[in-house]
Amino acid sequence: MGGTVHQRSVVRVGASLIVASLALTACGSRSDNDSGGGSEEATKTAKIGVIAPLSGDLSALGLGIQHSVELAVKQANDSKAIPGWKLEVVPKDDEGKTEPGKNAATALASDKDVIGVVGTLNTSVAQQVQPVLAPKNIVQVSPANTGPGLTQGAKWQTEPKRPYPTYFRTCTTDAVQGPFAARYLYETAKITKVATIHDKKAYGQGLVGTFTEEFKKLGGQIVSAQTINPDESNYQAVISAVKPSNPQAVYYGGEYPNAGPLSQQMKAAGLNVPLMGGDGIFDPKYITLAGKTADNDLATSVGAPIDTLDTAKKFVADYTAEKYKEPYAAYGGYSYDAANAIIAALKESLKSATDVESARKATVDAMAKVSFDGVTGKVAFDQYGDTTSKVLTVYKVAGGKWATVETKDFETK
Amino acid sequence: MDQFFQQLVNGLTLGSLYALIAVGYTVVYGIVQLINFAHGEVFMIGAFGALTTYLLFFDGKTSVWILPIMIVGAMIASVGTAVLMERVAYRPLRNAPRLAPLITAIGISVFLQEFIRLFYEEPAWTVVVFAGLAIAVGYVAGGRVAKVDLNHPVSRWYDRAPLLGGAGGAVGLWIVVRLLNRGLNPLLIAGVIVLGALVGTAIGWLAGLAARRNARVEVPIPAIAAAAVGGALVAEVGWVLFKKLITSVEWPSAKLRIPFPQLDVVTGKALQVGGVTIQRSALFTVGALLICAVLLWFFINRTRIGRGMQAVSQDPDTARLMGINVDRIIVVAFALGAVLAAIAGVSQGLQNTNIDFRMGFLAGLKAFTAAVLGGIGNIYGAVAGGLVLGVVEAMATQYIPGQFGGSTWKDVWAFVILILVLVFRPQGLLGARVVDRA
Repeated sequence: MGGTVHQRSVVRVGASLIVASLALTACGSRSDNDSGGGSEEATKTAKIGVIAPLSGDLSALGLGIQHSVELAVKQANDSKAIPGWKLEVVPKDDEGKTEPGKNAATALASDKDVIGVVGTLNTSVAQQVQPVLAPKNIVQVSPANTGPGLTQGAKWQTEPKRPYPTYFRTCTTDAVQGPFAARYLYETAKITKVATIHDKKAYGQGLVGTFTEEFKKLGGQIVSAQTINPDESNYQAVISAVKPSNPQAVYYGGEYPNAGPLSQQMKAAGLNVPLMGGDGIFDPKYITLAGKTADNDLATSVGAPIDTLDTAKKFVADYTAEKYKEPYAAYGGYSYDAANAIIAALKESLKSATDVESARKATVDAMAKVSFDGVTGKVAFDQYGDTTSKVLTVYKVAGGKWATVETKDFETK
Repeated sequence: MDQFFQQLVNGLTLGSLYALIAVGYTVVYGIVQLINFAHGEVFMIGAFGALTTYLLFFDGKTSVWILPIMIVGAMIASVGTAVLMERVAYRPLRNAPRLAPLITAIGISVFLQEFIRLFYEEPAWTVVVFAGLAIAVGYVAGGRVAKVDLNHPVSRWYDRAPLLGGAGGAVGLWIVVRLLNRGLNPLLIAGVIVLGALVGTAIGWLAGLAARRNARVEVPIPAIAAAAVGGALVAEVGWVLFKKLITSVEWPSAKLRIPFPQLDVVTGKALQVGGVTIQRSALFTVGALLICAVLLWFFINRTRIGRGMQAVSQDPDTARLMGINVDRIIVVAFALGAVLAAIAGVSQGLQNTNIDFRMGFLAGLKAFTAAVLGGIGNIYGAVAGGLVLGVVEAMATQYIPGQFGGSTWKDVWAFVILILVLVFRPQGLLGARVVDRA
């Protein structure tokens, strides 16, 4: 008996030795990477959070935001823009959904080193993030929220009232974007009959709402108003419902994951009219999804096209030089400006501050006075926290690429 | 009137898709009385199988003869998934209370979704699959050489230890070598295979020694060696496949919707019949359903296995006594459902022009509804139920006026119909008499 036990324990020791040596060799090949990284100077750290969809359908836009903020922060650190302080970017994923967005905001708000946040991409997510960041006086600058209610309250059409003094944005709103598209279709493209479709989300609904109002005011006709379910990808039923009303164009409120297939299926079903949307469909992925028949589809986007502006050339060059894995996408310029707006405010507020928490209020106050020439034009905020620049651009798909049609300053009539 | 026919065409197209998936639910239910809630994911994997085939071999081409090959790829992926699923998740629970397989099914469904999402994102992880496959092949090869039945009720789990140890050891060594040096020259590769076989055999022998006191089945050294050689060889083949094929393709991110390839004849300009637009992909879907229905009828009524399926669905125990291999019949049922789901996956890709890893969930739910609507367990009922459901959805979008109309509410109406049918005709449209079940 003793012999067997002895023999078995030898086997066990042998087996575990083999397993251990395998594990060690496997690990050994990877452990060389940790040798770098010198010691940092003893400076104080302030963190700038990013809340954006870093995964999921909209990650292309979200990662562009993250990298653009990283670029701005890196340049500020390199040039020692804020003496005695080092900035750090803390990216948080909101998956484009409200619940993860709220969690991300809570995590950032509980970090005493966070001074500002760039984000979010979606208006619906921002509605959840604002109330979390505001009580802690953390300044929030969105590069992409276009819902008018975020800065001017729920009754923005009749009695605008700013709900959160900590919230700012560098892009224009749907209050401008929808009417801008309506004016383009009616005045420039001479289209009088339009069908609208939206995805029932805050962004899409708002866009179609402001578009419809302006289009009717101009004298146009909305021949059909439909909705789709954003979780679906077969839109035959909706298209068949729209088709008999013979629209000359379809205005879509929503984002490219649905808009691309919608455009493709529209044309395959014989509804050969352009689809027009807002900045949510202004993305190269839209053309990939919409396929060859996407030509002549239209989109509006906030600001002037980034690669034509002189101010933006340096940004594009710097971004390319950093070799980020993902492109800066539709909101890169706005994110870069948003981060720089925060940095500009921090130059004031952190000058004599001892810690981040005490400087937060001063940062919010300093934000209101920020004014500089950014990538997308003049960066400054009005009394609601909206950008003072109201430049928009119409883009058209031509030969598998987005091409600029016209850039205009929107004037209220 | 045009509008009515247009929606009828849309409804029949959508219904054909539901019907193709619904058959899978109904066949499996008819035989094992199990609702395979992961069937929607089999459908999704079919679509991804087709896309993978396209990306691997035909990227950028649009000729129509690619389509059959894509369908074959879709079928391989779907059938593989379904059969593996049956073996791993359902067979061990065959005699468990009914709730257990239901819960496993939901678990499997979530697992498959995440699996596809992660693996399409990170194709490098297919190496892990190849490693698992290599161990499995080694194990089977060793079992063949040893001529022992390791599934025999008398054998225990540790009887398998020598074989698993042999194959696992060989594959393990292989992985270690590859981690240290990715590009070995051919001579060294042969050396590593031999060394892997030796080390694997040694590990298997040690494992056998450890288990020997309690073992019921003696596994001889040649069998362990066969397991080790098999494992190492398959690992190498897998690695070559990975290097040559999988890394040669730029994989789209599965997090996003992925555009599905558009082929010449099946997609393209829609046909106009009077005022009705018929898409070519719709013709493909309806045609596929027709062909499948005819073949299915032939298979069930005119072949040995088909009749075996009917027998098992009527009374599994008696069928077993009559010499029917019930396990095999069940596997065939799963495979049959998977074949149709694969075709449905391809048609969905062609119709919607894009696929994503979540597409199986809603489609599966709708198809399940169709199966229940037609009378679950009845194949023709599944086809009828699918068509009815599709037409109801399309018509509801068009003809229900006001606030409850439009595509927003179409799912609601589909399920309202389901509830009404279940309340007033619980056995479904084509009432499933036991004799009809197959």
